[in-house]
Amino acid sequence: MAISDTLAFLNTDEFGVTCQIGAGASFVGILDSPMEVLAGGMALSREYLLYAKTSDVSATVRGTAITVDSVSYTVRENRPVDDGLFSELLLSKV
Amino acid sequence: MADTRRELILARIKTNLDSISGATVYRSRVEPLARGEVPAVIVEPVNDQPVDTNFFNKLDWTLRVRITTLVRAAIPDDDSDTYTQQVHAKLMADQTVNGYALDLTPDRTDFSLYEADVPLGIISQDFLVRYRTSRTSLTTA
Repeated sequence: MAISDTLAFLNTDEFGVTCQIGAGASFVGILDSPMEVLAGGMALSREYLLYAKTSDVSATVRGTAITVDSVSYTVRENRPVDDGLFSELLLSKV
Repeated sequence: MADTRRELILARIKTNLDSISGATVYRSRVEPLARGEVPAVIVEPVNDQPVDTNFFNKLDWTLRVRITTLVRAAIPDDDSDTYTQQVHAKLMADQTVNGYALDLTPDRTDFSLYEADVPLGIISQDFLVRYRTSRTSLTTA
């Protein structure tokens, strides 16, 4: 993805939401929350996946507190996507 | 039609477990449980095997009953401990299952842990229930 497109992609007028790591600067990410079926259909888990620019979330590790659209989460995993311009944070709702 | 001895046993086990504190007890629930629905305990039959007895008109059955505890916690097996010990205590306090069974014995316990929004633990405790029926009717002993 061209670097010039990233700000258009992360736009609070579209699907973007305001995020903040601890007391750090706010940034925009896109939160998806698909429902997954676990253990052969015994349980459901709502996953929380935040897409953001890697430069905004590179400091996050397992356990880092993060606020997404005024809701508190902790980071489970930080995974770069494709060329690494974006990262996907797997979150747990607090 | 009257219930079979097997059904009476399963229903009684569910009744005995209903008083578990802190968890909801289900009979043979097949729908997935969401995060807000656990801790949960599910009672379900696994199999039921007859053998001949020394009495020509009787069958002795071994019913495998599975009690599955679902929890969501950072250390699910630790969190489940309070429920699995209640399951054991409540079933062993009524080993004849209200007089429907000859005896009830704990069998294997299995642990399955899964990554999820909050980690999921599924702990299953199997119990073997021996009971007797008429050779010709499942409803009479």
